[in-house]
Amino acid sequence: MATEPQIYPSKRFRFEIKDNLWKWIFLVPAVAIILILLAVPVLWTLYAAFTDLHLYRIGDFDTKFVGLANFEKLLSNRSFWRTARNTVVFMLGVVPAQLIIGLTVALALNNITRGQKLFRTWFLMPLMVSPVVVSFIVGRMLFQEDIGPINDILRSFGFEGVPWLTSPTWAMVALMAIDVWQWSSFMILMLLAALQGVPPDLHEAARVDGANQLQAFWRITVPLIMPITMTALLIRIIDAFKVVEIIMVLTGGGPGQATESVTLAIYRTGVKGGDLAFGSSQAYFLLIVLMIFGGAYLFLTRRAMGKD
Amino acid sequence: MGLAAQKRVRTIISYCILGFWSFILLFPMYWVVITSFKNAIDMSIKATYMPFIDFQPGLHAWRYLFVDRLTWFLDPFMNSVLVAFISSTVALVIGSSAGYALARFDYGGRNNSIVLGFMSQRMFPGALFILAFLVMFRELGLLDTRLALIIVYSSGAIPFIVWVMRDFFEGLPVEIEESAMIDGANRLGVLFRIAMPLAAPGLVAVFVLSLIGAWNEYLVALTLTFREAITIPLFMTMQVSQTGYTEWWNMSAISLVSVIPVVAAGMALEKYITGGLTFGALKG
Amino acid sequence: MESKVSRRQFLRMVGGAAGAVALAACAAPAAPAADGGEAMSQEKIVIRYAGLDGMGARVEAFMLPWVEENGYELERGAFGQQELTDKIMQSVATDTYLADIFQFPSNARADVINAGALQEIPTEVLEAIDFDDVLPGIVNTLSWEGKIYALPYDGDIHYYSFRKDLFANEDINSRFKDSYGFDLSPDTGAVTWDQWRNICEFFTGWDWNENGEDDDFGAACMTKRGDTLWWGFNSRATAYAKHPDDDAYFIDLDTGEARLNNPGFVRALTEWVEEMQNWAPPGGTNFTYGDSLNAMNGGRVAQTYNWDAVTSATSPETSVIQGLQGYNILPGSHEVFNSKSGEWDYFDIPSHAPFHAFGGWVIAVSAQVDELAYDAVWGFVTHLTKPESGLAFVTDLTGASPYRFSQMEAVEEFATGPLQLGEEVAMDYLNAARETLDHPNAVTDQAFGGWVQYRDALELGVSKALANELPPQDALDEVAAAFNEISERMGGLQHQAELYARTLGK
Repeated sequence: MATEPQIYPSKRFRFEIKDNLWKWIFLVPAVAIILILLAVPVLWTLYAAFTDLHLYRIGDFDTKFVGLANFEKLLSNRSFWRTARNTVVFMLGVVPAQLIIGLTVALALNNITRGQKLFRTWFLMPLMVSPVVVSFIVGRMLFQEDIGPINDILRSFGFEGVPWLTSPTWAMVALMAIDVWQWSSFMILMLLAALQGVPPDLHEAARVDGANQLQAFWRITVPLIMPITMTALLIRIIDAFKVVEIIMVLTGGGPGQATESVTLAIYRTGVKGGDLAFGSSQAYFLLIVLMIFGGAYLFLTRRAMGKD
Repeated sequence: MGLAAQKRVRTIISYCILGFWSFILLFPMYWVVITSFKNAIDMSIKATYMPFIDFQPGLHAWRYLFVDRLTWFLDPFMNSVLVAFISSTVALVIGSSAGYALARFDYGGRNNSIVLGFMSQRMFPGALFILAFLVMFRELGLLDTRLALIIVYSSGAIPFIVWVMRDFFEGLPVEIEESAMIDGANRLGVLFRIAMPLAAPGLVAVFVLSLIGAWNEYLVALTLTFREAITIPLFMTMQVSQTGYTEWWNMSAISLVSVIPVVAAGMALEKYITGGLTFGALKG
Repeated sequence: MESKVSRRQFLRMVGGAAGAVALAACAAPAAPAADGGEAMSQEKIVIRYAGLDGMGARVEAFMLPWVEENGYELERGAFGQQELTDKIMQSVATDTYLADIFQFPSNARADVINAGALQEIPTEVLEAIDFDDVLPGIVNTLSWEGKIYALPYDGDIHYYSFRKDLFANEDINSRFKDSYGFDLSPDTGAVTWDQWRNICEFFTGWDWNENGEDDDFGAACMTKRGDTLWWGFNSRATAYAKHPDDDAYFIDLDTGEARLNNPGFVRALTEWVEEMQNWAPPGGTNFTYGDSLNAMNGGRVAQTYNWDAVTSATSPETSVIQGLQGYNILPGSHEVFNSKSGEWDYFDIPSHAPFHAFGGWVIAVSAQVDELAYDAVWGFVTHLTKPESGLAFVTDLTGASPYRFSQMEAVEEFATGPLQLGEEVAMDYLNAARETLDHPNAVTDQAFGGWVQYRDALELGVSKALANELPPQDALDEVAAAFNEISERMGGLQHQAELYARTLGK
């Protein structure tokens, strides 16, 4: 089944009968759609980033090429750097938390037999829910400052209510909690699949050789689940960089600009404010960061694992 | 402590961890369910936790949704249904054909690069698309139509489907298909009569995942639709910002209506969905 | 390279290419999704209306008899406060049909009208609704270059409101006088912002509402970014920053330079941050407009300024202060900053500069109305805005405020109609409305194009100061820089200054 890792190299899966017509009919629509719906926006945004394109300008203006002006503005723009910092902080907050929770719960899940399927099914739930709804339910309702249950419970234990949405720091924490609530499940399921791919006899063998539980875990399990963990981490990191929906619903980027992400800033300037040019330059900045980061990540993890 | 006892302790700890995390996941859902039965007064003074014990549940939010404002809620709901189903179907047909082709034909030895090319779409930030889409669909006169969303969501789902389905088809034996072809079936027949049925579990998984993705998507819908074609998530957020007061009970009812279908579908098809989610990564 | 590819051409190319794919991809399933021109196939004429959910519901209730009588059908699009503006702006900028009739904030009028999205109001309609009865301050928000493009609906302006009963209490007053040296006036409330500050401080931290809880504060304002912070701050700042001898407020009329970081604005923000952090209820630096109303109506603060100060205060479901509230024009100031001389000028009689906080919702008819629906749509608009309807609207629990001379005289209807204000409060309220709308030094809200961006820039900076992320001066320096940059991108500082002059009726 799909959940089990499969290894094919020895198996023959290609046709020997040539069939050039169908070969292209099957592939071309998908390639064409992706190419056009990917290439057009990518090229158009690149074009827009070098112009002064604007949706809401009043009067007759011709669109001008402005060279690197948008990027210069970007680099000197304190608001933009603030959103960049927020995005990185958010990513650094949620991804490790999800990894730790994911690993803990996946290990626990791998350790039991009865009820495993039940838990696995239940853990799938948050992934099915729209981020908008998650942010509303978990964020707006639970973190509500006056009479939300979290503050209510804190108060009943004699603590002060936490200013979840009015303090810059706590607002970020609340957003992170929402993301962790929703996406830890992804880590759990990925890591569980990885753990189930670790042959139990290897573990037993290590134990017989005198390694204790922890040593066996580090020496046997960790290296074997490493590739999947790395892939899962990369997926989560990229998604965390793109965070926007939960912020729109919970804080709108506030208080001040304390929780505004880069993507939210792009929506705010580009779509809402109509400044397509500046919005595009920010989008490109994000794209370039993601490319560099993703490339470096893949390169480094491949190399690290190759050495092991 | 003996090995068996150690194992018992480990099992108990495991259940504790699982129980705890299940509770964390459960509590917000519990909260939204009870809130949908609350009255304004149950939320204006203090938090209330237990229906019948610290507040008297009422059906007024549900009446509001399904009786008073049904027509007004139905449009976005139908938009969501149509957009999600059509876009997933389109993506499934186009994406799985391509996945099949990449599994069965040789494209000058570059099959893997093509698949990687598809997947690189994931790296692109959505923010990069919304600006261009806004302008592009304006020129096509497609803003505020379901068609625009269908186009975007289909193209968003295709790469993932290609990726997963290619692996899936590669896992199926090629010999059955070849013998069918020798018997005179054409390639299209082979794909739809033989390969697709065999790949049904994979198809179900990617279809449901695309469906959920389209159902829950917000940013593109926010940018491309205005009134006529708005979807459920957009409809929800529009209800919140009305006057600065939030009608928590009504919002909760709306949330539940939007969440229950997909969560039910997802959990019923758990085996396939988990497979679909973890499939690609397992191949590394 | 010279750029000779026009934007339109480029977009066409791009669009064409994408269109080909779109058609290829969707040829089969497009049938149920293609939804253009469906109005044609229906027998009944459908009037499509887009507006706020709450106000829209009242419009619907009010208009339904008329709609049915005439055999039309009404389809109402309901939006949240924020989305409505965004969606109208986007539909206008992208030539996308949104509705036949839409309600929109008059700040956006320059953007909306200039995009050619509206029909000019026909003279017959203006006559039918007795347009001359509308206050000049409101007429300004409906017109562009001398032509009328929209109709009034709700004369939304900020009123200062305060707890008459507390200010009239002798015991409280004598204690107040001991500390601050002047009397609390139950007739006028705070006349200057200095008095407002004293009142804020005085009413914080002791149980004047006698409910045994520690929930008594001086004031609550709208302070939330993305909500209504723009108006909360500007209403607080106009008295310091709008000089009676200078028509301009936001930007300089000669140079187009932003004034947002001049000492007048900085003083307003510095004081406001102090007030909201110390003398407002918890969370007061991040209040929506609803939160600030709740605080006032819940008897937790002694004063505020807001729009719909009347409706929610009169309803026993939302208010514990029925009939206890006094209304007045926004406070003024003895010192006003003069941008031309760069000095503070002193005025013996406090100078007021009431902010026409967005001047109200207006409704307009889209240029994209289907020909068949033309009569229905104009009939609808006429019926909705004629004097009788208008009076019924502003004197009911709609949240709409008066905007006609005749409404200013209708003390009786306000006092004993559905609002049940009572004579005294009704007088106060109408006087405040009239004085604000008729004031020679009133400040017209920003409407010179790009409103969404300017608003966003200001709210961003001010909220940083409220959250203690930046000192007020730095925050406003950022705002001013952002304003200039936006002006630059909107066509140049000079260009924006010209548009600004036009919105001021110059």
